[in-house]
Amino acid sequence: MDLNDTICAISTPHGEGGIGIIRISGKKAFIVAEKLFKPKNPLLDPKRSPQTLRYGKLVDPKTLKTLDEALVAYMKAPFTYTAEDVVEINCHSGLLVLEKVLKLLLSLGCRTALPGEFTKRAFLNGRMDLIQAESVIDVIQARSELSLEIANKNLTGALSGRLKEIKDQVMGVWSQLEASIDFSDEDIEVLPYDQLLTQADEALKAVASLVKSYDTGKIYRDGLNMVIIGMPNVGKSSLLNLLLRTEKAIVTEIPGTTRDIIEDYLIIRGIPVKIHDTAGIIETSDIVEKIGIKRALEKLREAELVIIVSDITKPFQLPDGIARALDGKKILVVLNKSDLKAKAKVDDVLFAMSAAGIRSENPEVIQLSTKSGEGLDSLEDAIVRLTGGKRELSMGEIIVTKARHKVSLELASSAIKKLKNGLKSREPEEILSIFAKEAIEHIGEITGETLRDQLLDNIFSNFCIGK
Amino acid sequence: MAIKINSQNEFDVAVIGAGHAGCEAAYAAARMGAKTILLTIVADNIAQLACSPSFGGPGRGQLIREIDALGGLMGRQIERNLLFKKTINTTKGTAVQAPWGIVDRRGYAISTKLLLEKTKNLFIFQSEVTAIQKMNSIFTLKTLFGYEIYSKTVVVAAGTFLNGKVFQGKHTEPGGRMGENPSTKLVLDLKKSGYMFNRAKTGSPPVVFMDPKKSIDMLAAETSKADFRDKPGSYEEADDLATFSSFKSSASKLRRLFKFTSSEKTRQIIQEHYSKGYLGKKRKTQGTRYCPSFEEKILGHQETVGFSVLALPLDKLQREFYLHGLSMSIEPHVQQKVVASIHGLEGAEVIRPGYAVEYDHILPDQLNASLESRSTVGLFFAGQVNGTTGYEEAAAQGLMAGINAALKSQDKLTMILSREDAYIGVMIDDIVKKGVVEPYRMHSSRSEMRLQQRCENADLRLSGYGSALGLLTGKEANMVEEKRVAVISARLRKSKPNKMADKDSLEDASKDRLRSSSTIGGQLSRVREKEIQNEIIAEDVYSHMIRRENSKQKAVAAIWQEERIDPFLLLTVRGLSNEAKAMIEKYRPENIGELQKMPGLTLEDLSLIRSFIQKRNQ
Repeated sequence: MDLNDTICAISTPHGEGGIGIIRISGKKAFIVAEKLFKPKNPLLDPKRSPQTLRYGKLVDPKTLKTLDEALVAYMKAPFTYTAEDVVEINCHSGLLVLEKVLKLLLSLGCRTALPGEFTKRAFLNGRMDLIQAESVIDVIQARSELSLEIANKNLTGALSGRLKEIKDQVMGVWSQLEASIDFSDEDIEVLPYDQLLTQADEALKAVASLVKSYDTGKIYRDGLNMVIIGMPNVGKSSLLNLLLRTEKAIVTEIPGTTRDIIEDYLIIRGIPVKIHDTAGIIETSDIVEKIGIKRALEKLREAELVIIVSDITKPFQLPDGIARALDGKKILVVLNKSDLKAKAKVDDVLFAMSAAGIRSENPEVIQLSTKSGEGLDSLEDAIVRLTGGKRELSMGEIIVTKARHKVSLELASSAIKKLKNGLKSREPEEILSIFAKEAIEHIGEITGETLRDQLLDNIFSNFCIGK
Repeated sequence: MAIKINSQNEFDVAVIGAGHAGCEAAYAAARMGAKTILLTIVADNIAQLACSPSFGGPGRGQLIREIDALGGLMGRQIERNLLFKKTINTTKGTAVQAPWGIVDRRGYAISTKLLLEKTKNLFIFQSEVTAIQKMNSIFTLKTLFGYEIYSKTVVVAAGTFLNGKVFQGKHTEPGGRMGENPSTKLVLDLKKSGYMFNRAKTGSPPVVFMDPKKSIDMLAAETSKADFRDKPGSYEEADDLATFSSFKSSASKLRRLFKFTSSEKTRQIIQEHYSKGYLGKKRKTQGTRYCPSFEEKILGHQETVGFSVLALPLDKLQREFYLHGLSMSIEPHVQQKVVASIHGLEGAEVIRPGYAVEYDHILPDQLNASLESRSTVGLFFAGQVNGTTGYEEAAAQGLMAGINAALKSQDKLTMILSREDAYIGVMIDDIVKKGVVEPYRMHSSRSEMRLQQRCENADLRLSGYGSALGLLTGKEANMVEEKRVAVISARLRKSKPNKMADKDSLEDASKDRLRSSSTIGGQLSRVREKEIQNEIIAEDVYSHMIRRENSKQKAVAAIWQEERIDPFLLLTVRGLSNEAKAMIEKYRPENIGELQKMPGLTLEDLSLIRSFIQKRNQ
């Protein structure tokens, strides 16, 4: 049923525009297109000259009315996105035009593609592995240059390639173990445990660095959840505006101006950041403000990074009742109004924090002036540094962005660790083999590849065995 | 149409071919009470070791013990005709240790023939079957000279004889193996009935004559020492031998084997002459990767200087030696030169030159798990004709096919061993589910439950089947039960398991426990004592890993593997790949466990099916 269907969908965003594209994929793609597309030069047969772009008219075969003029791209399997025959109709992007063409296609035997079905077909037809199929959506949704770069790398197979290297390495160890069990009587030389240990160690390091990259990757993909808190009127909203470089929050001299939480998205050095400016946390009898404070505390608990803003001209003071919510978080303290005479010192800040019982890995203190913008650079640096982000990917650096991948990698890592320890303590081959196999299976889960007869293939390609 | 039947030529089970598969099939069926006929082209050539005189090794050793536990003949026949034995993988854990031995090939063939002759309900008959027809649920076997045999069930165990061709030098001749006629008509008949066949290739090295005392340069040879005390091919048989000869006094037993190394000159000869042999014919037939010819090894491994050649004696006269490692099909006089170029073998004379052989085998995915044809009820296939290689693989299939043919002829349910039960189950599951692309050989790595499927516990695992089928005698079954009691009482005596304890201390501890076992202590032979001791060690060493594996599998298995599915309903799962659908239609899996073992399923397919079933169950 399904893969035999020919599917179609409007592939450009809805709305009026210059060009709208309808994509058709499946066995009948060419036949269907032929029925409604009348090319200007009817003598050119698209089936004979695939991968061509042709000009002509879209005509309703029943009414013979022209719907639009169009450029139609014919792409012959298997060199297409889905590895099936694909036709893309480029017509004008008007809501009515596109819908009429789509309806026509449905009446000609196509069915509407389910969300993500083109990519799914690419996977099912073996053009992509699971990782690549998953990164397509990442490319589409990328909000920063870096996340786009990461997604693109995965789409073109960088992570798959690295996993294959790791798999090959563990497979190498496994093959040696198995060859030494099943062919010990043959004329083969099996590597000693010490060398297998080196290989296992390399594989383990590679897996570990991928696991570690997840933290970085997650931030680039999902963004950083950041909250700004502080006593009233210390310049929290000014800081937000400075970061946003717009005047979003209403800034006044009156304490408690911000009563609701202002939420915004911005990109700091390539990291997509969801930022919350909270109500000045203060004891109040004002009901509206009380609600604001409660919500601020909620946001605080969800945050990954907290910026505490304080007025440098006044002694540092933590808002009451937030110490518990801050515990264990990454914290940046911004001493605002650095253009004025300083009263608060860095040491005071650290003292106040520890006195309040807040445990945090090295809270950083930044002096900054929201008025002049001085110190903004070091604040942005600190944000990137604290969240493990970086400006650009180094050559060959691969970042894991999916929780699913991380889970499998951690399982693989634990299996390789057992393999390594077993090699060290000289456990017999048949025990070690179990750990090696486990590691390979977990890596296979990520790419969607199953094991089948790979082991024997690998053994026979590496050893000379025979009667 | 009624078929003319008289009691003379009407049988319950007819077995075609008297190699290792055929012998096991006939022996088992007859002892299960089925009137059985064993048909062979030459009745003098029953139970031949067509190639190597050796048995066992990892995987195959376990198969031998499983055959033995089910009451088959191979393990006992090996023990009775043993010339040399050692244990493979002694530096590794006991689960992957396996016996490897050499038997007297003439003795093996003759004593097996005698055993079959003595067997009640079993008739040996020389004739070539040319066609198999089925009518009114009775098979008619047509033979070359027109005589007809009728049988309720048939086991085809034709080995390499179907359309066999032998190759030596520039010549090709029809032959099932060197010197014997092939069977050409039966394969045509089976093809006409719709069976799909494949062609495979294997080969055999030269056999040389030499007097070890004169011809072998002892200094040039490496030797390999025998060990008869461990890993018998048969628990019961080993004990008998141990009591009457205690091996050491047996003059025919070998203490060591000789191993030689090919020289640079050997390489030159092969490189010059390989084209005048099978390789020169550039045939497309699939050979086996683990069984390449010597020519292929030389050409494929340019960097290797010397290849090992092991001289295996063919019988107790120790005059004829099989040169393991030297399988080749070049011209006979060049083979003599090759042998002479190997340091230490200068004086050896080639008497039977090596050759290559091609044959037809059926695609085993046309069979079900009892080795019965999916299309013809009552027609079974076993052994090399199914695309496997090796005596042990053949015998194991023969045994299962014989058992199931007998059961079928008696209107009883089939007996199937699963992958979890035994190596036999792994092998049959592999070949009937995945098919074969090259001759299938048993390796221990093919078993998922290797740690639990040991030589030593083969009888503990399987003798229940053997007894229930009537293939084990009461005495034999009792011996296994005594062993079980010894192992269990040793287990009960056990202090806390120590995973990291070294092998020696485990061995001491298990010896102590064995001695303190009051049940049978003191009456055991050395071989049996060692066997029980190994079993106790295995339980110590592996219990931790086995628990871990089991719990991992159970997590998936319990909820998932057993989940029944309707293959036709699965075909309606949206988004399933075409390959997956084709496979489901072909194999018709009945539960998820079977589904997961099918080839051609992606994780995506499985997860689609999983959500489909979960939805259905809600």
